[in-house]
Amino acid sequence: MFTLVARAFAAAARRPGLLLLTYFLTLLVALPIAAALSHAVEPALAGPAAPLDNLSAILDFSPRPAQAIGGALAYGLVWVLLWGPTIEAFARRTDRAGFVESAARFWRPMLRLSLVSLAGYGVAFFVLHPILLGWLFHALAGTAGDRLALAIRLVLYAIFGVVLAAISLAIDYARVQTVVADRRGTVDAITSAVLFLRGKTGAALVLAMAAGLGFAGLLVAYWAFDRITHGAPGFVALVMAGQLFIMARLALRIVYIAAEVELVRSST
Amino acid sequence: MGSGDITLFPEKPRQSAPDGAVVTRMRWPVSAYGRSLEDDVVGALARHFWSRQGGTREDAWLADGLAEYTRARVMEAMFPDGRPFELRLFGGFVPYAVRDIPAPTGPDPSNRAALVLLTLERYIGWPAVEEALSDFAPEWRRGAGRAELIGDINRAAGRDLSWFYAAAFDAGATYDFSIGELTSEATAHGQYRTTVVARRLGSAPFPGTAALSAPFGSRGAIGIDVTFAGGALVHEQWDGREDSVKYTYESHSPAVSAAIDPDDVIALDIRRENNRRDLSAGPAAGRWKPPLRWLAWVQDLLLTYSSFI
Repeated sequence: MFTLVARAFAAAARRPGLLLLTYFLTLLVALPIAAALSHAVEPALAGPAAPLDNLSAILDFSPRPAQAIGGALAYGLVWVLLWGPTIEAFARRTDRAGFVESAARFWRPMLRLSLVSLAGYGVAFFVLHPILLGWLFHALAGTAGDRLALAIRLVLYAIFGVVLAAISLAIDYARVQTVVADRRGTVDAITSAVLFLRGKTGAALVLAMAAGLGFAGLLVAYWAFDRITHGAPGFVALVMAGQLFIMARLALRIVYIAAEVELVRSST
Repeated sequence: MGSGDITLFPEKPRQSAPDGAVVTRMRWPVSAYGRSLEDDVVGALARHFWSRQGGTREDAWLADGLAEYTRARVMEAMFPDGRPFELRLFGGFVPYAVRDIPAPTGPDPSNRAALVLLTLERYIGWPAVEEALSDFAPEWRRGAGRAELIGDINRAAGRDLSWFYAAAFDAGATYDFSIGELTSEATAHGQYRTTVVARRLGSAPFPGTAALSAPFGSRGAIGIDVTFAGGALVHEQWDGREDSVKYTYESHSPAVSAAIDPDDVIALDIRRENNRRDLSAGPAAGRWKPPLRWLAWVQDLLLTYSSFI
């Protein structure tokens, strides 16, 4: 596993253009939304409060501004174009021209997988979430003290997180199977991803947990920056730290994709 | 209020509270940097101070407003440098103080009675409101109500504020003043013609007098400031009785901004964002600051939410 992760890091490091491209596209989509939100009455959360707020909103299924949700959909479509060539860059080491050609070849199957993904998460958030963290939480924690209520909520978050992780794993490996094994049919790609995950459950889980730990490490580092600077690092440092965090998150995503490709390739 | 002990119970106390104890409930845990603990304790003490048995629905509304106003006043006195903005994340269980953002000060904006008192404080001054409330508190415990409070405030202020109470205590009356128009154009004579239109979008005026024709040339209690590029400032007073008022100026330099109620006297104004118009966008760095503050939050949201697509 260590060798596999090391190979993924090396593969990602050989393609710094991927990080720059994804960062540039993230900035391009985010800037107009940030400009629109800057007229809002709510205070702008900067520093580690920003990712914590977003993570909390996901787990609590809290509403977000319409502009931000629209932007996330647009950004998701950008990734529909990026999934194919990014995976292929690690699977077959394509060049820059091959990147565009790959985007054209794989955007349709990636779009179909994205729609399946949306449907899966839709069921999780609109059906399972209200049952688990609405009805069940209130039934169990309604008369409990704060400590017990927090413990109950953490258990329910964990159950909900497992469901989200299962959908994420199936869709992620279906994307990899689409490119690496050339399975462009949606059902075919998901079936082969599920079969792969049944055979390599341990390795896929360890990899996903490593990515989760990597994200947690980034959050801790960001939080430590906030504590060291006493929450007031100055405007330029605040913006720079935010951009470094976003770049690190993108780098983590790219390394994770490379590791998934390595895992699938090492198994075939 | 006197003095006493504060006892914190980690869970619900199993025994009933002793006589004279003020019991409140707050979320656990509390942030070391936030002020939610103090806020909850002061709020509970303020509610206890202004509570009384019986009374009408209006008395309950007034008690709620007096308590909320007292809580906000005490918190401002305790923390004159402000408090950090506090998020409650993950089902409200995890507090997170954002230390570079100040928490909103003043009473809860949905508590109209508290906003009435805050508007009065800003209009007639804290010493007058303090004197009025000191007189009113013992009367309140003997069963006094809104009429006695109004009498005490008028006496402390040394003037009749009936023009204010009529709308302020009417739940259906809304306060919303705006700068509807601001133009400043060069004329053929090398001067600038500036036009400012202030509007009343709500139903309540703020005339400063009950008399329809204002005495001694006074023209209402709503301040309007027009600032010119050369630094000159023109101050107007408007009563807000008409739907709008128009001011026109000829000047050597163009206007840069106009603001209605610039000192934020009318705390009851439901929308502050329409109280000002700027013709100059300000320095470029200043224009970029608000979007850049939002940027990392938006980027993180895109990355997080796009994992579902």
